[in-house]
Amino acid sequence: MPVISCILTEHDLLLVLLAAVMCAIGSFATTRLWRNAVAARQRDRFHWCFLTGVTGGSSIWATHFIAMLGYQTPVPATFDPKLTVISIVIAILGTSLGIALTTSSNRLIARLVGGATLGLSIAAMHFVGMFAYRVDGIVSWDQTYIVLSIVASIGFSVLATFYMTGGRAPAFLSRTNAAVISLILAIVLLHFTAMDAFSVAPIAGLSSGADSGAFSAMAMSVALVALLIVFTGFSSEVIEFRNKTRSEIDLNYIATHDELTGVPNRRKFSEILADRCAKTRDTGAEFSLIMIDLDRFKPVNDTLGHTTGDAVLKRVANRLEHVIRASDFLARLGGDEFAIIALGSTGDRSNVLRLCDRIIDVLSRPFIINGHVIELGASLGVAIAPAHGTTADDLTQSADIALYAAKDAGRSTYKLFETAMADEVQLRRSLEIDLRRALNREEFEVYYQPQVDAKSGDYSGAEALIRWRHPQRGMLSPVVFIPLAEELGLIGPIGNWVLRQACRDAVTWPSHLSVAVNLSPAQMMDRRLPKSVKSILNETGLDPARLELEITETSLIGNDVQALAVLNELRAMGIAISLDDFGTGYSSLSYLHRFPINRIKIDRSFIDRIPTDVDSAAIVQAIAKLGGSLGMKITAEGIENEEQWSFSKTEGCDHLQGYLFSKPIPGSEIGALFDTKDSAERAA
Amino acid sequence: MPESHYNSLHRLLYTSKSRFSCSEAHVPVEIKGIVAKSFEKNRHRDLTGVLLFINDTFIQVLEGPLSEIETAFEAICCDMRHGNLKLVDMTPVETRIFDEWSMAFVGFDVDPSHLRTNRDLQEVYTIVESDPEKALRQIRGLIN
Ligand SMILES: Cc1cc2nc3c(=O)[nH]c(=O)nc-3n(C[C@H](O)[C@H](O)[C@H](O)COP(=O)(O)O)c2cc1C
Repeated sequence: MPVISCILTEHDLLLVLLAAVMCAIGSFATTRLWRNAVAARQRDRFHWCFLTGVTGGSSIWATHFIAMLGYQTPVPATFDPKLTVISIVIAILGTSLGIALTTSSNRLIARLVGGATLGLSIAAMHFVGMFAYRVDGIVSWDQTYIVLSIVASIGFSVLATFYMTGGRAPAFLSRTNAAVISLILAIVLLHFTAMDAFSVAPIAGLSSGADSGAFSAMAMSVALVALLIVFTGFSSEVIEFRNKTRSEIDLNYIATHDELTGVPNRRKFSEILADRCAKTRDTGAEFSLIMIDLDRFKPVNDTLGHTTGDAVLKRVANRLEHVIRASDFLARLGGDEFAIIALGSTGDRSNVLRLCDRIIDVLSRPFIINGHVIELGASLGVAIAPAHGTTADDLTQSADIALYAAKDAGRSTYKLFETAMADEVQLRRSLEIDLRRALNREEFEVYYQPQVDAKSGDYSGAEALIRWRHPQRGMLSPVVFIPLAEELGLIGPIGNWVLRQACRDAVTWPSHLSVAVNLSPAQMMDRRLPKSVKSILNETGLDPARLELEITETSLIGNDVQALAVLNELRAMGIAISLDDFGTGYSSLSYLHRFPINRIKIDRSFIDRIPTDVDSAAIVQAIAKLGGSLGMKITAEGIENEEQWSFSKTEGCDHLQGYLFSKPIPGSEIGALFDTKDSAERAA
Repeated sequence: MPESHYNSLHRLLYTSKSRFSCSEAHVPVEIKGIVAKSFEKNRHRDLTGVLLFINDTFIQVLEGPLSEIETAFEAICCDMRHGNLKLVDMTPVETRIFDEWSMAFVGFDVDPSHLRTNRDLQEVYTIVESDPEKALRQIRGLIN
């Protein structure tokens, strides 16, 4: 092996080693930059190619130079400064050009032409450098080695380019590392093979081996410059790498955090939750999921605007960050929905519940924004893994169900998930679906509870009561489905249906009998109510004077202007208005005074307790007296025995309703009841 | 929101219950810390006011530019060393009534010489929610 023997016999080993290190570092730095040059966008590409060229060219050149210092000649040698400079210029420009060609989008040009240019640059640099090497002896060149060296340089340069441009590297190497090795081989093989082509014979008479001090000083300083250039290239690569990781971190931050509040977003939440669930499935470790929903946030957004709403959300997030513990993970899921994954619960539920208390406390404190005092509150649902779910979906659903229960329980409270809640939600869901269809399927029925004149005991009319004949669950009371219908926005059509049916039935009754129909608060909110009542009256032909509409105080509260307008319109048609369940709510006297009310119905809970309970008796007396003096009729509801009847009659109630007279009966039977009574009367 | 409103003088009055996690004996130290910190922060924010502590209850008055009050109050609302916080009053005002105090403090003291102070504190405590106007006058009297 002539190359090896050349290295061993004709070189100073230490300097050869230094050259090798130079070559390795240079090739490493060059390929990093080269990678950027290949990947760069058009406008940056020139700069990257140049940077790569400078680094690559100087590396090649420095390797050559250091190796030449280690070359031991039997004769004195010096460097020609001009040619030395030219050699480095060739190395840099040639490498830059080669690198530029390797960035071509045409693979063939990139690999063959680019690679060959690189190889030729290395060779050209070497041979020009050799011309700069002046020895006082007879120089001879071996053509075979020259050709071999150039072939090796081009071959390995093309190979390096192949790896840099996406070629498949051997399995144990990354592409870049494969390119580094190819590049090292290109440089090293060229140098030492070409040195085999070179030989010097001393000229007789001249002293031998006299390296001048100036020679090595210049050589060292040039080598140093080369090293500096290489490290400059290296540094620029390091900076680039840092910037890239930072911008990757920034991007990652943006993708996983909520823009408004700065807390992690739903995406990050799902990731953490899924992670945590997987861990729980493996180890059984407990953790909790807390769903947080703000109460009364929507009105803030609606009345004070989104800017204020956003400011509130920011503060909410900030307050939550103050109450959670270091091991808790807070996220904003969107809108006014937040969630906490309490990772460090270590099976101690009371800690988590204490956290819930703190959250409710801190969010119930007022927010002052632009001088507006905003009172919110939060409802929380808590689910604990693995008991309430071991997958992200199941656990989230459990927490949502608990949250729903908390909202239902009057807000500003938290609920821990219970299986019964899920059943309730299930029931509600199926009821919801059934309720939407019930009207079309004609599953509703109207029952009537007769009312009698307190003095004579004669029938005076009846109250219409809706029933739902559910195909599977049997007869359902309005307490079960009316709130649901209100929530689903179905109360309008259902209410109209009841009214129409009641009017239809009532026209068949003796003409002195009236019919009372309940209006829900949601119906009262509807401006179109008077119009639909009118059209139903026209359609059925019922005398408006025989219709009585029953409202509750809730319909009036916070809705006075609209309620007053609606009631006035109804009264103007000749319809009577009665106030239902009186005594249970605010029972405000101002309502009685301000609204056009014809009748007060005393709630059954008072009638139940008379005459024995003194307080109830006093209330019944007071209401009856008050109504009388305001010119209103009074009805006592829930009369079940003779004493209640006589007490109510004595205290001045005009009409009575209750089981003593009749329970609610189907529409098909009430007509007969009224007829028998009437005929009985007539017969008497 | 006009700028002027945002910088106009406001007064805020709230009550809260102390929720210290430290031992009973350490409470005075905690309170001293709160007062010192508040004093420092308020001074920089052009806020003045007073903090009372009676029957485990904080009664605090803050006055200053609206924006500064909002910032300070939000910080107070983030503090878990008290709870059950109730905002009693928040109004624009013409003048400060505690203008020489960044944060004055008056607390219940077992020392017999504080008998009168204690009685007055007790009275403020009783009426602060029902009659904040009168409570403010009493508080003013307390710190003279
Ligand atoms: C009863 C009570 C009264 C406080 N009063 C004030 C106050 O007037 N001004 C203020 O800046 N901080 C006040 N704080 C302190 C803040 O709540 C909070 O600890 C502090 O501003 C946080 O500052 P930092 O975020 O720089 O740590 C009070 C705290 C408590 C418990």
